Amino acid sequence: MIHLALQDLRHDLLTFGFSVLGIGVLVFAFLLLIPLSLAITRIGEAGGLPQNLIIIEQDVLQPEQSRIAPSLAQDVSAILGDRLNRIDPVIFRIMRVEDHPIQLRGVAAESWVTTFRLRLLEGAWPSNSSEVVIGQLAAQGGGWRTGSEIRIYGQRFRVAGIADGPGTKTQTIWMSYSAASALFGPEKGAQLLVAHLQSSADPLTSRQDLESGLRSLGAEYDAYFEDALLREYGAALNDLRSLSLLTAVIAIAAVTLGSHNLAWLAAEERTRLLGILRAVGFDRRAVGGYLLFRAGVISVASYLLALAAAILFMRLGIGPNTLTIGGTQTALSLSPSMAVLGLLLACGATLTGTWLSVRHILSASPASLLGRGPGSSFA
Amino acid sequence: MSVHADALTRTYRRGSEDVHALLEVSLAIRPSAFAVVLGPSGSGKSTLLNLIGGIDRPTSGHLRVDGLELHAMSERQLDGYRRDYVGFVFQFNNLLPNLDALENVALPLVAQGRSWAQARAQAGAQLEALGLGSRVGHRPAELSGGEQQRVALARAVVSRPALVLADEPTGDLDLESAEIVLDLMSSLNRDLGVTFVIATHNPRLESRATQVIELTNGRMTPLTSRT
Repeated sequence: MIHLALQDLRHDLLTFGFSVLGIGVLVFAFLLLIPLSLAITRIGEAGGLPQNLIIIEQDVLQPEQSRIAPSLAQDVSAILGDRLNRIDPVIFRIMRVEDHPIQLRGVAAESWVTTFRLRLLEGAWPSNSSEVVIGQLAAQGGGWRTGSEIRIYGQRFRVAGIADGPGTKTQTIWMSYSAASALFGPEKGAQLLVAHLQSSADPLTSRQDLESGLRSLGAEYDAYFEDALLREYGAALNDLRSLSLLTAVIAIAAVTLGSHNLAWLAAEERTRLLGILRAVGFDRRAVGGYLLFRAGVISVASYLLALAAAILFMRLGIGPNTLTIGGTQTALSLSPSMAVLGLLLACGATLTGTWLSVRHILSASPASLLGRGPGSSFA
Repeated sequence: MSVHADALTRTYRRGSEDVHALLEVSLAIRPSAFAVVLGPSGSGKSTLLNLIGGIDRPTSGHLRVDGLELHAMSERQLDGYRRDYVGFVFQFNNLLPNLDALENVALPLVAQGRSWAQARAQAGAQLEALGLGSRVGHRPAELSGGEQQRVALARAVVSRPALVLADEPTGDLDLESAEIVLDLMSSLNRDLGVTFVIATHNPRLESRATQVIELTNGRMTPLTSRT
């Protein structure tokens, strides 16, 4: 039967070629969409997009006037539950430092990279409470460098390094929460709370839940997204990820339907041939094997064509092969496991589509396959 | 191989109407017979061959071939029956177009589980015996009508079946080619003892028959079968 299927395909190269091309295009789409979806997920997991909700006292015009109750962090944790990754109180001041307007933030150092996505541009992270990092704009505005001494609120600090986060538009100095608390006095407390959400959490729903939860507790706070624009990026990104996954599923479903149609056409064209095979002694299983093997060859050839095209597209830079969202860049790549998954799904979809279309042929009697009803001859 | 039919009926449903392709046919074909089934188009000849060949099932009645109760067999058993006991010759479009003559003839042997190499060797010998040694590598489209029927005959007998069924085997051939095919059938019947059942509306075949069965409108014509 293998020989018969190969001979069949060899002698009908044009149809074989178009079948391979038709299925291959869909598999190619699948092989691109899955890496795209994974790249988007990677960006989300890398914190490329804000998952930060800023909680501030209601009706406060200047953030530094806000006061956060010590128990608020616990309330927020209870409301958000497992959607919350981490919560940080922030000491926030806008002040003049050596005659330069500076936004000062005191936050636990372990959240600088994870929650606030600071990226060290020069120097090192502070190793003690007398060291700070400054933003690039602050370095330019104040003329400070790594190692410079700065006097803040009457106390001297050493610039350990220069770091920036995405979308920084102000001259900023970052210090640890404990250093800021000691500097301004612990009784002043934090001005903001920053709730860092899990990447799987939906920011919009989380914000609504948080606001309604706080209202029900009688707490007078508002919750904002860190950046409205980036929030929209986040929503778009989630949509894009869902859409690309959905499109990948549709591509595989289309492989099934395409294979169904191709196999149906092939079987209809070969009804008599199949009847002859049954008449000369091949059983249903053998005839089914012939049709499925034929479909399998088409699916493997389609997959190899699609894989080659996808590799050319992604590895050799024939098409756009990187994804940049919210300042975070990631490359589209096809891992061996994805390639194997693509092969299994392509073959599975092809064989399913083929089987669905040839069931009726396999259950037909040889006489009906040969078109031998009343009034017919053995023709 | 002997064939015994008792009240064999095959009814098709055409719209709301029942069409009796065969009605209450009872007959006996002796082992090694060269039986000719005569009758005009639509008389039920092909239906009778379908049933004897196990490619269709009777609506009612009994059909026994060498002790095998065909009417009671499962699909799987019928597959095995065709594979091991029966050879078919169709009127035209007999051969698989993508396979050459050798491969077409090898098919029944492959169906019996032989490797392509073994099947090809045996098929080559069979084609040689039927005078087609020089045409083994030709595909059906490259053969004449008479050669195609000889290849089909080779395929029908290559696995040494006990029964060969042929429906209008010469219907599409010129006189000379038809004679060649019929001579081959007669000699295979005589030399190998194969039972032949040939459906035709050509009365000239009657002269070669050891047994004649006449059908009209799905029924046995009185006084048949003749020997």
